[in-house]
Amino acid sequence: MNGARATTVLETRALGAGYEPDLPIVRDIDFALERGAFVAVLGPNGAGKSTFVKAIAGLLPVREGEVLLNGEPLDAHAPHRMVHRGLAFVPQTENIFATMSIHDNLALCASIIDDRERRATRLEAAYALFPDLARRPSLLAGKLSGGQRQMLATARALLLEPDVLMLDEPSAGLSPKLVEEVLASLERVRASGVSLLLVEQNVRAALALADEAIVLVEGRLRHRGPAAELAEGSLLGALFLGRDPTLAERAERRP
Amino acid sequence: MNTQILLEGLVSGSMIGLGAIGLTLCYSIMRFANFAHGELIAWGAYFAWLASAALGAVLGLSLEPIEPFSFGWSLIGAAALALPATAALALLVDALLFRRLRRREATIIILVIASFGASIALRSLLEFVFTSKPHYFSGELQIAQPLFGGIRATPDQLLVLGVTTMTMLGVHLLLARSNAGREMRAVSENPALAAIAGIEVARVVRRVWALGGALAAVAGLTAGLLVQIRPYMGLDLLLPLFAAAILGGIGSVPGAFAGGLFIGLCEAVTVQTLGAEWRQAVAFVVLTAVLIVRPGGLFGRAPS
Repeated sequence: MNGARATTVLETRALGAGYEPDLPIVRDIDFALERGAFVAVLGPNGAGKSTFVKAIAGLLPVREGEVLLNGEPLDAHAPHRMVHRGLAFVPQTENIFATMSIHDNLALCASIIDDRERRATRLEAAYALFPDLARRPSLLAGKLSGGQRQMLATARALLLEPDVLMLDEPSAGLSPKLVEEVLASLERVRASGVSLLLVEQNVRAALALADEAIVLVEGRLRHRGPAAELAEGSLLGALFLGRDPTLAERAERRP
Repeated sequence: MNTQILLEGLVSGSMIGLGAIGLTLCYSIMRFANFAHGELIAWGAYFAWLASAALGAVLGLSLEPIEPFSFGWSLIGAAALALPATAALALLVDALLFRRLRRREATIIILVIASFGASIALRSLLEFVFTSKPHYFSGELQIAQPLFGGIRATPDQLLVLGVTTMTMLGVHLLLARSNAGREMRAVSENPALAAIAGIEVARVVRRVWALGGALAAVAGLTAGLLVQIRPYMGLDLLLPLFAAAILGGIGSVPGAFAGGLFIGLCEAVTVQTLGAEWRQAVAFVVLTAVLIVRPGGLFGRAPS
């Protein structure tokens, strides 16, 4: 048990969060993300997936419970400290500065790195991970395509070498080909040792990438299991429809 | 039409433009129209006037004019004190008023009305302390020198044009090139994203207040130099400032300056052709026209 705890990088304890004080959207979520793991956050529309990750990122007030990063509680009032602590987040929309160039978007985030050499190395690494961005760094980010925007947002989030990268529906609004490209880039991110928490509507693609998935239904954590197990069988469908998974499993096993 | 009005318009317009830069910066970062910005300009002028007198009396800095200008070394020293003092005043107003409201997630209209209150308080305080009697940096009278094409200008007027233009360029470069400027643009575009990118938004807000206050002090200095120092000087500038900032497009520094020049020129032409009593109406007409025809302003970001 102790060994397993040591590898936990991100943890939520009885997390409750929402936009209004008396209207929690997610409730009582106990979740732990192990170092190097890739976990998909699934669930039907309105299940609270985005609320869950936004609350962890400090963009929404944590109304109940707490969030721990590397065993230390996060200060919910200071989202800007998250990146320093090793937590990076890519929101679903408006995740780049459209009125700035590609370079300025990255340099802005890199500027909080004090060491000059490291700053240069990290910028180089960002361009190496997404060669598309390196072609015209002076281009206004607002002129980028949806897929390129997602790459820029991901590159920005990775600049400070986070322990955890959270992405909120990176494939939303992208063509199927771009979805493949963006999700393939996450494979490369994962290979670099970053723990990933991915909110995704595209269930099949998410399960193909992730090791594990959690399923949120009506703001509560209803299931956690290996991605492969969820990808097969009808468990996920039953969960999405709000049925009791144990009943669904029993039904499945019936001859 | 007299070509002289071109110069008069540009000089007073450059002063309006400088004030509008501070206003547009505050608006684009804090997202509310600060009606107390005019009072920061007035306080800047009074700070400079006080400091100039004090430097003359205490340090013996000369009040004698530096040829060819109307003011002495004491005013240059006073400017160096008035800028940080006005910046500090802006930070103080924020700490006492606006920051508390932001923490309570006050709506924009509450911030705007609060700024009205701050404006009245700051103006009344000026009147209380300094009375409504006008003050001057210098009692020197300046003779306008012929330039070209029949245009005449006093050395002070030319200095104001130079100082305001350099200040505008400086602020523009700060925003475009420096890291602090990049952070301001980021917060202006998307504060939530700026925060998750690691920028401390509260620190950027403080910097913008300080910069806005310092710019207001420069505008106050030029207004005091060209006209006079009165408690109501800020209130009189308010409508022209807003017209210039909105004409230039909220958030655009060169836009605010160009807007100021335009308002100044329009005022000069109006005074010349219709009479001085119409001056106050100019900014109002321009503001209304811009809001109807091109609400985003000339250089403003298209609403997303």
